[in-house]
Amino acid sequence: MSMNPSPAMTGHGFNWRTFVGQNDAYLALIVLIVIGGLISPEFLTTLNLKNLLSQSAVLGILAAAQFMVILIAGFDLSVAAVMALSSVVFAQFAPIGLAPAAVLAVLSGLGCGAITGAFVTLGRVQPLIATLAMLGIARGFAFTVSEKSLLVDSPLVVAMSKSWGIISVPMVIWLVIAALLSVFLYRSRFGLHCLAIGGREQTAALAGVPVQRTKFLVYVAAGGLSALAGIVLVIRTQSGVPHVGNGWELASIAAVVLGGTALFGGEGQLPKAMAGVLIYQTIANLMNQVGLNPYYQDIVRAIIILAVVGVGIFRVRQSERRVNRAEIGETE
Amino acid sequence: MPDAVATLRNICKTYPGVKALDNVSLAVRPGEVLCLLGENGAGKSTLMRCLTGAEMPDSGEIVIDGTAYTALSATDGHALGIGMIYQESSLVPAMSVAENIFLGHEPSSGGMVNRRDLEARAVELMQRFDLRFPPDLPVRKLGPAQQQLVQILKALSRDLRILVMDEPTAALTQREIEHLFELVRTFRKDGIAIIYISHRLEEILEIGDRAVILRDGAFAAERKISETTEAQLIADMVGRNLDGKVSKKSHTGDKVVLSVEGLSSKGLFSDVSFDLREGEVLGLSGLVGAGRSDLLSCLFGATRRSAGTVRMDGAEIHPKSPREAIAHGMGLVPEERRADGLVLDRSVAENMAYPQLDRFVGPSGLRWSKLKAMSSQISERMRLRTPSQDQRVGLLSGGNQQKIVIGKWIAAGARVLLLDEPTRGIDVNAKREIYGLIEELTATGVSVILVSSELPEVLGLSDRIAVMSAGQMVAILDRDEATQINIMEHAFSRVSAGNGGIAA
Repeated sequence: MSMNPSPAMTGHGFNWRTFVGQNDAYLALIVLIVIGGLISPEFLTTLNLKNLLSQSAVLGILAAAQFMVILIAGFDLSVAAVMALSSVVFAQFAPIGLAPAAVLAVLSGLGCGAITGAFVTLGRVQPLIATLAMLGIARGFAFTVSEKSLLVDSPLVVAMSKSWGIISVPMVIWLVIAALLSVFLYRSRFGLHCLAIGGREQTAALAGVPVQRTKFLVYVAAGGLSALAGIVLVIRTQSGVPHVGNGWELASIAAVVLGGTALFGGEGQLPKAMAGVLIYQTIANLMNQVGLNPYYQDIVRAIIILAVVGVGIFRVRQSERRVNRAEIGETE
Repeated sequence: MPDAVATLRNICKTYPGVKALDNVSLAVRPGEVLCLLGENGAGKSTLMRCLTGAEMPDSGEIVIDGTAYTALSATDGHALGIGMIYQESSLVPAMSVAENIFLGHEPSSGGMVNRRDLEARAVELMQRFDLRFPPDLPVRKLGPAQQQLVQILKALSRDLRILVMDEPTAALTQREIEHLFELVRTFRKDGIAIIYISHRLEEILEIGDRAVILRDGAFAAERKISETTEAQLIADMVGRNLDGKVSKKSHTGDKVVLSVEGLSSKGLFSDVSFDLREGEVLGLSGLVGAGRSDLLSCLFGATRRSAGTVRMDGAEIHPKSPREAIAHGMGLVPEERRADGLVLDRSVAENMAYPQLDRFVGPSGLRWSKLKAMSSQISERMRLRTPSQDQRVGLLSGGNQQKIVIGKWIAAGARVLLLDEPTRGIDVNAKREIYGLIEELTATGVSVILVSSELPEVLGLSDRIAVMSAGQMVAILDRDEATQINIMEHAFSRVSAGNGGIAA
């Protein structure tokens, strides 16, 4: 019957373009690693790869938080500040015991997320504004807890800073969180609801999706994940640092979008967003390897963010144009 | 006759500036196809959105199974078995067919969804209607007709007792419509109450049992389909237009003011040519998405031109921004009046002055007295009803707001007015006044391009009518040869299956 789609539309059989389109982030990462190996002899050493992965772990967990928020068509500018707060809370209370310290740190993150979530859902404040305010609040509290970096000399934390080849504790924590969250978002009603809210909020609401509740929970989860990033940071550096992660909120957005997540929500895969984190960190790592002036590194990072976001907006425009063309029947 | 499954009683709903529903009552019984008829803006969709819980009525009640509700939420609507196929797509483009069908009531255990199960259920549902979409295909890859069917499946995936269909055939071809009607007949046999909204009378005569006609937000008539005719239904719908029909004297002069040749904008419309004379009203008709608004926005310099020439008074002009177009004497009255036509939080006087603020700037800043004098003068000419020139525009009625949008261009000395749906969402009397204004302005030599989806309006006001279809101008009809029927034929001429717009 004419109403059923033609086989061509469903795309059976192997198609190179589809393959590249679906795996662009992974392929880009592989290409980048090959380039890295070619231009710097240090790049593929065990030590460098271990560092790269363990640096990626902290940004990766932040990016997982950012991913959820971007998926529902929001932005979270507070992730890095909440991470800093959690790191000093953890470091401050570590002498009492690592478990209670970790619980308090995570609670601080969940609390921040709940406040932003409440403003966004109940107060209908723009996510950008609400999370910008939370950035200031969490940073401020971080400095209230401690003006300077706090060293953590607990034997357990020191033990966890060990590594085995390229494997480190932060990396393992990151990968476990990313894997669990990927499966959860893919398989749960909650994950489907996030996609629907980001894709077309009105449609989701009319279908009976608890839109505001879901959004609230996403901000709470983002706060909790940011706090976990703070704990991992302490494991990595043995210290809680109130000023850490300045600018990482933007890096997390760039990484998520590099990983093919739609800038304005509704589309994305967490594993690809994590590949985006590795791409971002590999570029940063290579700039260090070739000894680029740190100020230039800042400029390059800023340009990457601008380019990635620019391309994201361009993609949205293109798909709108395509829809238009399909409607007026242009063949071009 | 079975008892009503749902009764709407004395429903009222007011939007800023317009009364959308005025004391409307309606009952629908199981196993009947109740057709809801009326012109654009008659309140059909709003009434149905109150029934499904998408909109809250200001007053009145909704009685379902003997329980009276003052308002329903979307969740209530689903729980009571009320489903609606909306006119605008209610699918999430990036999500798959199966995900869309079960959105909001995904089969799950402990909050987790088994995709294989989800897709199997979708396939099972599709088989009941002889459809074979791959359940994991994102719906944005489907054509409009196929998307329409997914919307129907989505409604049917819940236990339905009432199904509201708002213009379900707008994007479908004849064969697909026949298939849809078969489905509707099946639902009727199963005892589902169907409320069917359509502009296409022949469909209503074919599928309907009973018709309720709304006019300007109020109940106008009820007819049994077996005892009525198309002419009767049209008379019920237009009612007022028969006694006070829109009709305008022609003020077309000899001089060609605007001459457009081969104008194209990539992806929007192509190869459009026409002349516009002094004092002429050129109607621009076509389906939604045919490129009418895009053409206006291109002439006004707001959308890029990819080919063609535009001449004003014989000299070639290529406005690259609205600012340039305004300097050439053009003014655009946009479709989205509140978003694009006005700054709602500012005063009448300021809104009137925006296109030509420079004129009111003296050495010591804005010259308010001069500005307000201009604004008062234009307000008087437009017969604007406002407490003062300082009134915030957002607090005025839709009709008065529209007078300001038109007035600001008159103040700026526009000679070519581009009107995009100038009477949408404003009440009958205000419409009359807008028609009167168009007449007065053309008498003074202003030329008008009028985009309107209301055919009687286009037919009554235009000296000539250009019809666009799928991005091309397919005909320019003289006033005496144009009829609703031949306009519609032209409008559909380039529209095929999966390439449609929305009939208006």
